[in-house]
Amino acid sequence: MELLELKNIFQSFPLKDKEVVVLSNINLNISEGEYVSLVGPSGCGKSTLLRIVAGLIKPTSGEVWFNGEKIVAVNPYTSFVFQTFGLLPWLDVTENITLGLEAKGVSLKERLRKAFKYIDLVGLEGFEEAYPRELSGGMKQRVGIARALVMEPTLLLMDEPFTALDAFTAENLRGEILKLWMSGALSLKSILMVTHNIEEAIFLSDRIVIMSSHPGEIIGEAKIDLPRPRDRESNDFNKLYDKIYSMVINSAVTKGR
Amino acid sequence: MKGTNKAINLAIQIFAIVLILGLVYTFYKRQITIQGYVSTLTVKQLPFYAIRSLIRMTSAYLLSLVFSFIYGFLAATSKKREAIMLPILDILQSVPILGFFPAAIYFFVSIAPSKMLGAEFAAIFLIFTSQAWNIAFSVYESISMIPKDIYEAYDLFDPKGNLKLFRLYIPATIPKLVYNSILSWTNGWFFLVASEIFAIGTESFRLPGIGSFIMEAASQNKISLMLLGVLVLAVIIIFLDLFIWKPVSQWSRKYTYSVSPGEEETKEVWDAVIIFWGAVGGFFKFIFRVFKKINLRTSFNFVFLKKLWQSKVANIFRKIVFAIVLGLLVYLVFLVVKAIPSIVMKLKLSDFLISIKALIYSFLRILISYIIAFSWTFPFAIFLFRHPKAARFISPVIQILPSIPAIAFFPLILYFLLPFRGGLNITAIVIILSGMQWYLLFTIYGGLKAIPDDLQEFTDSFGVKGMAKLKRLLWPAALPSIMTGTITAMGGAWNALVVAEYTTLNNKVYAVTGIGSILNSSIAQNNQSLFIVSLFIMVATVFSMNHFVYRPLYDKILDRYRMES
Repeated sequence: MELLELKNIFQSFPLKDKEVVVLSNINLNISEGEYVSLVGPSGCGKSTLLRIVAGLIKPTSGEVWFNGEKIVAVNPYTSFVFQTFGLLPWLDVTENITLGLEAKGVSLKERLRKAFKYIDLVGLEGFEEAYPRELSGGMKQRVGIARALVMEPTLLLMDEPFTALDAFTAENLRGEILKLWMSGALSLKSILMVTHNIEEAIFLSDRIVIMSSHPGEIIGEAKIDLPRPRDRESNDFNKLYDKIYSMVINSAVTKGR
Repeated sequence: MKGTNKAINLAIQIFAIVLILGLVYTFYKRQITIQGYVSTLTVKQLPFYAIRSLIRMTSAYLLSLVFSFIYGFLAATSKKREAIMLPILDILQSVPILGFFPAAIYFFVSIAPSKMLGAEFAAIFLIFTSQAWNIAFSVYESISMIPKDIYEAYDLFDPKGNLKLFRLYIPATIPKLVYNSILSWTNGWFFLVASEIFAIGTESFRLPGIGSFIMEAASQNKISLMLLGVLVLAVIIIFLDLFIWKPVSQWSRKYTYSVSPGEEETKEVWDAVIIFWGAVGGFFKFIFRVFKKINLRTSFNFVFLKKLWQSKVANIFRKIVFAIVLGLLVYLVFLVVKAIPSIVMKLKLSDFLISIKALIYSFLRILISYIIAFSWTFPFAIFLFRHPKAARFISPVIQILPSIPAIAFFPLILYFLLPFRGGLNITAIVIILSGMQWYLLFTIYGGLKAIPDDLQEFTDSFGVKGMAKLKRLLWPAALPSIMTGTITAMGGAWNALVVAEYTTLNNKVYAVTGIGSILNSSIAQNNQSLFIVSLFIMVATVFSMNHFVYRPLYDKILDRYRMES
């Protein structure tokens, strides 16, 4: 069943008396149970597309449909994980995680119950009352993930969630995300992730959507059927890697940047 | 497009200046005699006088806080409002407020139930005008500079904005709000003392307060009382700094976006202060706990508040407020337009010539003060920068010294310098100098300290030393902050002029040629046209210097010498 449908999304911004086309003719469907990655060179509008799905940006034209419902404001079925975490520095870990619930008017007791469940799941025990600045990058992103999960979304949106972390922390967190996703302990039906790291995309996703830049368009797709956990050293992995890599590069060359 | 924006800004600002000047003219007409409220002085009166001053300061500050938050918030949350409110704020900040004080006194005395109360209002208003703009800017900046990811995250998790004010806007403003509050509070002391020792004509306008105590003691030749007054003032300022502002400043760091490593360890608050607040804390903790509980549980109330704000009744109410403000503005414009013919009729060329001559004298005084200030603060800042150990001893002192208003020493300086030839001129320069030098020292030192470690390590490892280091690293690195310091110092100097160039002691007028002195003496002689002309010339000078000299220069310097973070 189709969870998310993007129909003819077109996005442009005015820049110095000119209209710059960021996204053009984007049609994309995401089904239940899929982990999809958007891969493309920087400036291809993949983060903008993610924000359109979240309802943070209204597309210039085109429609976003979710579960047969047209989305016009902030999408209530999605939750967002930011590249730069986006934590409020004046709120502690628990307060950051429960901000969305508090805004909805959920009672304190219920808020704390849910917060502790997800604090447990992402491994933040003992940091409940810490402030973001007291945490390492990895811990901050755990808060960002818990904050997104606590809203119990149907679709989780992640905007380069591992880019701001060091290689070891990123690898660790990737493993944990995968474990959470596989365990079925979450309310999540699907994940849509933006990344420029092809290896990461192959490691995590069921399907990879490849975009080119100027303007941002979808130029291809690749299904990943490799069994999880995936072995980065395997031949199949490397073949996939080369295929996707050349697709990204070719698009840049043919468009002349 | 940028050009038209600039033109619109300029138009708004000139309109604001004309409006303000016209209003000053309109309210000037109401002649009122004001007497002093300070009589014989005794030591016993001192606590009472000090408390009067403190109440004046505190009410002005609270007023500024409320005003600033509303103004800054409104300006930062709508592009339309921003386009009008920001240029006006800019003008209000750069205009020398003390020049408007006489008109403010007349205005407030004429509307207040009693003259004393009117004078009190005028003093609070003066202090308010010295504090509010700066804080309003900080609120505006904090809200408009909330990082994009935090803004987006907030909008996602609270799409209806139910808690936006309490979870996003207010916390985001706190660090800058506190920082600028401390600056404004310091600035406020100067204006407090100024408002208390202000002289109109031969009649001194004296409200009971610590400043008038010092001034009155000087004019009654009671030197020990005067010194005691200065001491008490200093003790109050230092006490408040240690027990209120330092802890508040430490607390406000919780709200900053990031703290670079090492910075967190700097402890500003003394242990004694912590113990003191710990003792008081038992009580406050209780209150705080109750408060915190309410805080967590009342999200419902926040929603209720927001609903109230968006309800139809509130909408009508907002429209009424808007209509009243608009009506008031139209009325004020009407008053100004009505006054124009009579202003024009009274204008005399001679007034302009007198004012311009005075302006040149005043400008020379400011220039001399600036040269003196710069020629000792720059080397001293470099000394402090190069000798961190010495700086550790000295910096607590230089942090507190500037908060003691130089103007409190005015009577003291006058007392010693008056017998000499040119003593009045030297006094005026010393007053102006003492107002500007700390700003300069502070900002230059701050600029030097902000030089990134890697640049320092690089120059050191390549053996760049002495003059070469000064020329290639320290001077360029400090240039933006020198410029900031200069602009602020100059702004302060124009204000100081009004007090520094004219005073009365024992009902005798002491004045030098200068624009500040003309502002005073024209009122004393009830020479309305000279007053308005000199005020116009001063405001026009300050405005055009800001607009056509400092601002472009600052932009150029920033463009080239800013440290990319």
